[in-house]
Order: sequence, then C-alpha cells, then structure tokens
Amino acid sequence: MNAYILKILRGFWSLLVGMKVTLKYFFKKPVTVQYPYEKREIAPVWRGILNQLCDAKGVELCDGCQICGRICPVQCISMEVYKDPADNKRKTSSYIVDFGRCMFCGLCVEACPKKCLVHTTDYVLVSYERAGMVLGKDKLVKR
Amino acid sequence: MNISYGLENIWTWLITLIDRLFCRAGLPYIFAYTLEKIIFGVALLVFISISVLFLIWLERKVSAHMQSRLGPMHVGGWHGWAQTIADMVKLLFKEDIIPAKADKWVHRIAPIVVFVPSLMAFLVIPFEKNLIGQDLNAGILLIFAFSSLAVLAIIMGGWASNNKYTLLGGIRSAAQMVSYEIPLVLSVLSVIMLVGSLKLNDIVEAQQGWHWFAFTQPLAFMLYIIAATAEVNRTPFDLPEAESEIVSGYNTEYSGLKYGFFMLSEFTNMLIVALVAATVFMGGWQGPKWLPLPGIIWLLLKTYLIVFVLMWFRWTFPRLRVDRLMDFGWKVLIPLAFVNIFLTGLFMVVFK
Amino acid sequence: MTENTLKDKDGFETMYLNMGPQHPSTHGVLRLGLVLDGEVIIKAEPDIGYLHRGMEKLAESRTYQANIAMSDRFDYVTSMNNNFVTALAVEKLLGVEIPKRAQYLRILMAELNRVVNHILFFGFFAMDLGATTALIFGFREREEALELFESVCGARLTYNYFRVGGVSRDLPAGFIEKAGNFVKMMRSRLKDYDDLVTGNVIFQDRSVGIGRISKEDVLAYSLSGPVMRASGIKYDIRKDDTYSVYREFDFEVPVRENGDCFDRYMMRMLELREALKIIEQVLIKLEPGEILAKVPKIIKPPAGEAYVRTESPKGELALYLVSDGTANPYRLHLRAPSFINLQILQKILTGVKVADVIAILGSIDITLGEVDR
Repeated sequence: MNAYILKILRGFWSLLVGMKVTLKYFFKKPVTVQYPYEKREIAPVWRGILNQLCDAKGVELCDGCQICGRICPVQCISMEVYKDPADNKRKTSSYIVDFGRCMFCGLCVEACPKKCLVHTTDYVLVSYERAGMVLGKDKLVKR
Repeated sequence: MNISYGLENIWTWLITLIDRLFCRAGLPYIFAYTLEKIIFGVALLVFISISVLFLIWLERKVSAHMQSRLGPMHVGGWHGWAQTIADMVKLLFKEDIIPAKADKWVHRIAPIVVFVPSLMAFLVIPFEKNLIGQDLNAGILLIFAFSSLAVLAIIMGGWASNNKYTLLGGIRSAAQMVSYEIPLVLSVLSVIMLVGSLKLNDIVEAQQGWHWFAFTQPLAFMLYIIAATAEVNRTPFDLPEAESEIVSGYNTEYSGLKYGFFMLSEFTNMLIVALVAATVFMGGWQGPKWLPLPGIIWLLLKTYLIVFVLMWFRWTFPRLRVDRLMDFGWKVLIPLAFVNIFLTGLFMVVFK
Repeated sequence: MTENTLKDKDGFETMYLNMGPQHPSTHGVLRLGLVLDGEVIIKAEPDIGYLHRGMEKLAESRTYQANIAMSDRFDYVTSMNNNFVTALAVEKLLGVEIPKRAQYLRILMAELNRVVNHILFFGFFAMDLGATTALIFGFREREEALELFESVCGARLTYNYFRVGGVSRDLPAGFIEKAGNFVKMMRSRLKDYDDLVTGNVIFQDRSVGIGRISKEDVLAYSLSGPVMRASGIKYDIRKDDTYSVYREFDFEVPVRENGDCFDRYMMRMLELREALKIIEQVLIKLEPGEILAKVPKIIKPPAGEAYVRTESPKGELALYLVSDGTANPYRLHLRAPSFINLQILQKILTGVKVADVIAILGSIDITLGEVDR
C-alpha cells in the first residue's frame, strides 16, 4: 500500500518536473526567425547556385576545358566550346547548368583549374516550370 | 451577494423591457419567454464561436512558445490573430469527401451530433448570477449527461467512415470516455455533498470569499482536472485521435466543414470542462470584493487559467497506452475518488 | 495480402491493418501489415522497398569521388558517417596515408553527426509516444549542429565533406570556439531532455519492458549498434575493431541489460554524452597541418576488394568495395545497419499493442533511405 502511494506521488512529481521545463521555455525568447521578413545568416562557404567569375575587365575566365562537366556526378553541366579567331583561345558559346538535377555537391568547383566556377550563397531556386531551373550564361556569369 | 454591476444588469433590463412590451401588446408571456431564450441562445452561439476561434489561436501560441517558436505571426497583423479565421474559411471551401464505402447518413450526421451536446451544456452554466440560460435544479447533472453523449458521435464517425483507423479511434474513445466519466462525476460528488445542491448557482455561492473548493477539496480538484483532460481527449489521454498511432483517429476520413465541426466540438468541450472547473471549484463568477469587475470577467479569467493548464499538459506529456489508460482510470482515479468521498463524508459527520 | 484468413485465439475474425507506407510515424515509407485482434497484434509483416533507388547499382557508373557524394544519401541523417565509410574503403584499396589533421577532422565530424542523429532519435521517439514538444526541442538543438556543419562544408544535410585522402575544407575561423559552446549548450539541454522525457512517468510506462530483445536474438539476427548494446552485449567497432584514430580518444562504451525500448532510448542518450566527450577531446587535440593527402586527380585503385566496418550511429555500417582497376567501382555493397536491425521487427511485434508498434519501431531507429538504398 505504501509502495503504491509512493509510486503515484513519484509519478506526479516527474510530471511536474516535465511541466517546469515547458514553462521555462514558455517565457524564453523563441529561436526561430520569421522567414520571408528576416533571413538567417548563411555561412560564406555555402554551396549555393553556381556562378562564373570574370577578370577585372569583364572578360570570362572560363576556357571551356569541360572538366566540371565531366566530374559532375549527375551530368548537369553542359557547354558548347569554340575557338575564338581573335585571340586564338578556347571559349564557351553557351554554358548551361540544370539546377533541377544539380545536387550542389561542389565537385565541379573544386575541380575547376581556372578557379572561375564558384558557389554563391544564393539558395532560392523557384520556378513555375522545369525549364526555369535551367540557367544559362546570362544568369550564371557574374561580370 | 449583491453585485450591482456587470452584464447581468443589461440582461435583466432587456428581459424586463421585452416582458413589458409583450404585456402592453397583449401577447401571452410564453412569447416573451421564447424570445428571451432565443436571444440568449444566439448570444451564446456567438460567444462559443468567438471563444473557439480564440482558443485555437491560443493553443497554437501556447504550444509555439513552449517549443521556442512564435506560432502564427502573419495573418491579421498583430501576432497572427486572424489565423484561425483564415483557417475556418479554408475549411469552408474545402471539398467535402465521403468515402465510397462509408455509411453515408451516419457519416453525415456525426459532426452535428458531436456538436449539439457540447452546446447544450452551456445552458446551465451561470456566467453571472442571473446571466444563465436556465438555472436548473439538476444543473451539474445535466452537464455531465450531455458531455457523455459526445462519445456517441465519435463512435458514429469512427464506425461510419469505414476505415480501420477511424474504427480503432472510435472504439478507443468509447472505452476511454465511459471509464473516465466515473471519476469525473465522483470528484464533483464530494463538492455536491458539501453544498447539498446540484444547482450551479448554489455551488458558486457556497464558495463566497476565498472558500474555493479547489482549496478545501484539493484531491477532488486534481481528480477532476485529470478526468476532464481524458474526457475532452487531450494529451496525455488523446488516444482516440493519437496522431502517431492511428493517423488522426475517428476524424481521419472527415474533411472540410465536417472536420471543422469535430474541431469546434473538441474546443467547445475543453471550454465546458474549464468552465465547470471554474464554477465548481474556483468560485465561479465571484471575485475579490476590492476589485469590482463584472462576474463574467472573473469567470472567464478562471476558465482560461484552466484552459492554459490543459494546454500545458498537452504540450508536455507523452501519450498513455490504451491498457495503461484503463489501469490508471480504474485502479488509481476511481479508488482515490471514493477515498475522497469517504473522507468528505467523515468530515461532515464529525464536524456537523 | 488483402484477404485475411487468420483467426484469433477464440476463433473470431481478425482485422488486417495496413500501416504505412503513408503513415505519420513509420519513419518514411515502411509498410507494416498488421493482423489485429482488437488492439493486440497477432502477426506483423514489415514490407520494405518503397524508397529503393538502386544506389548500389548506381555506384557502379560513378567515379569514386562521386560515390562519396552519393553516400550522403544512403542514410540522410548520418551523412558524415556514410562519407567516412566510403572514404575509408577507397583509401584501403588505394593504400594512402591520411594526414593527422584530416583524421581528427573526420572523427570530429562523424561524432558531431552522431550527436545529431541521437538528438533526432530523441525527438522522433518522444514524438512517436506523443510528446510533441520534445521533437521541436530536438530539432532546435540539431539546428545548432547543422550550422556548425554549414560553416565547415557549406551544406546542411548532404555534406559531401570527405575526400579520398582527407577532407575537403579546413575549419573556418572561430569554429573550435563555436563547437565548444555547442558541447556546453548540449550538456545543459540534456538535463532538460531528462526532465521532460526520460524521467516522465508516462514515458517510462510506455517504454520500460516493451519490445524486449534477448541477447540470443541479437546474435541470431546480427543486430548492431545501440540496439545490440541495449541488450547487454558490449561491442563497439570504434573500440573493438578500431579504425581511423579512435584509439587515441578516451570514451566509454555504455551498455544496458534489459533490451527494451527504454534501454534502447537510454543507450542513445548515453552515447550522445560519450560523443560529446570525444568532440571535446578532438577540439583540444587539433593541430594545424595538411587536410588532404596526395592522391591522383582521377582515382583508379588497383584491382582488388576491400571491406571496411565502422560504427555509425545506427549500428555497424560496413562497405564492401570491389575495384577492377578502372575509375568506377566494379561492385559496391553496403551493410546497412537500419536494414539489418529492422529484421527483428517481425519477431518482437507479435503480441504487443498498436501503440507499442510505433514505440518499438521508433526505438530501433531506422532511416528508410538506408533500409531500401
């Protein structure tokens, strides 16, 4: 009989201890952010949407070596290469990344010999159709 | 206790006005009486719907703050106050789905059946001394009688949906509500013994000053809160709608307005048990004399305190298992309730 | 099975309940066919394969480095540990020496991921038993750990941090301090966890003595990880078949005797504390140095095979890798702990109640991504 009453009392006490925890957090400041209005700080190393860098004069650094396209595990990078007769250098006429397939693993950025392919901290990729996820040079090249 | 302020003065004035008007027009009193009751009923409905909207919002806010969140913040501006209104509008526009092999009529009327008894229980609750639908002799008994009807609708909904999860939810609810009615009534019984009346106004007036039954009958109060939590299917006793086990329990197959009715009745039930707790154990519409607020304000303050405690339970505890629930009800709550009744009786005999 | 012919012990009809693949708490797309006598389960039939992505076959058409990126998706809760085992297997084939700092960073990340997994287990297990707040608490603390991961490797779920021969990036400035703060914060939060869930009488009522797995069953079904140690078998690959530099760290292998849901839960909570201990030691021991060994750009291991075992948060995670000398593996096979731990389910589900099914499933801690692969 004593053990029975003790068990009940101990049970109630454990419930009260639990209620203390929730009450404690009830009066504490929330940890969430109100997303569209405030955004959390993103680490500078964030693997977001890809960008191509240019040199100081605004000329693309990419020389169309195709390494990024070949190392990509999901084959989401495609490009067309031509030889510019003006300075006899390889250049890309189109550079397309399908972000619908991209898994942001970052292998292409690591492999890039010219270090001209970079991740940005941009993560918003919203589109009404799949074609909207396929970004070409106009979106990717940062001048 | 004469309180010469508050809503009840307006109400008595209105009643007198209607009585006189009908008398002057030469109509029998029964017409005036009916009109008064209709006005009261409509006012009650408005009160209930506003309270439920507020309660849902409160529930989301309380849960959010307990979980280090903020909850709805956008709709309506200030802390998302219009969120539940928006949700209700959404529910209104949702497609009303009846499962192909459901028992269509039972499925249709279950949401109505669930709402009516929870509405009826409001009739006898004294918001202020004279602000009461009908001050019945057996007021408290009527509340328990009607609140036990809710189980019928839940079984109807669970059975008619022709889904195994809803069936499990309905059967669980039947077992749970039947066994938790008993400690609920027994816990109030000791109070009734002390007061000697089933009339809610008598119970309130027996608690003048600070002689709340919550203090003189602490065990009964605790038993009542626990049994009431089970009665309104809230965690830790939310087995009929245990989300992680049987999806959503008896209302799994409901959508749109019918689901809205189930939700409405759930929160209305919560309001009722809190109102009863405030009336029976916490002095009802009576407040301290030095702070002359209308009685209804005092009652609602006490009610929302109980509601907060119920929400606090919900967002803290895990759920009991179905057989342990029965164990707890029959082996802990009911013996304790009997012990309490026995002690109360002994006290009454000795100190008479 | 749609027609149910089983009868209960009194000869009455039973009910066939199809739990999942769409169910709030089967942890993904597991389907459980339950034959019910009222609320009691007579027979349970787990049905897996709804999340099968053919990853072992896909691996054969990917380079070794791309396979590490893919290994993030085996068990998406413990990506770092999956990276670890894949990298170790390739390195065993190649026979490269890993720089000291890279070794430490690997252990730091693997243990941090263990913490994340166990926090998440805490949240989901409590959620399965109906305690909603615990889930959000778990996610709140996980968020802090994910921010640490994010600041190191730039991703929050699929880290792809390990490279053949080391790791991809060094720690950013201020990481050690932040990680130290995380450990401290986690210790204080664990007290809240204990108050809120572990000590709670309802929680204990729901978990003590439920879903008991005996020592013999553990061995017969070759269960591993916390599920095994909860049944009283003290075996941890980090200690008993050590890999990387785990032998340099001082940590206990907690063990519990009963093998019920509560012990499996307690195992995780104890392991979480041990993992925090290891993280603290790593943070002290870290010294500047190389993070990537010299490996060729295109990895072509010599023909041969390698089998590597590691202790993932879920159990023994092992990888069998066969190379034929080309840039892609010839065969990759994963010994997925979730998959093997799940096999006991059918046995221990017999005779329990519907609510216990969820508790037992939650206490085994599976990720369907790893079960189906």
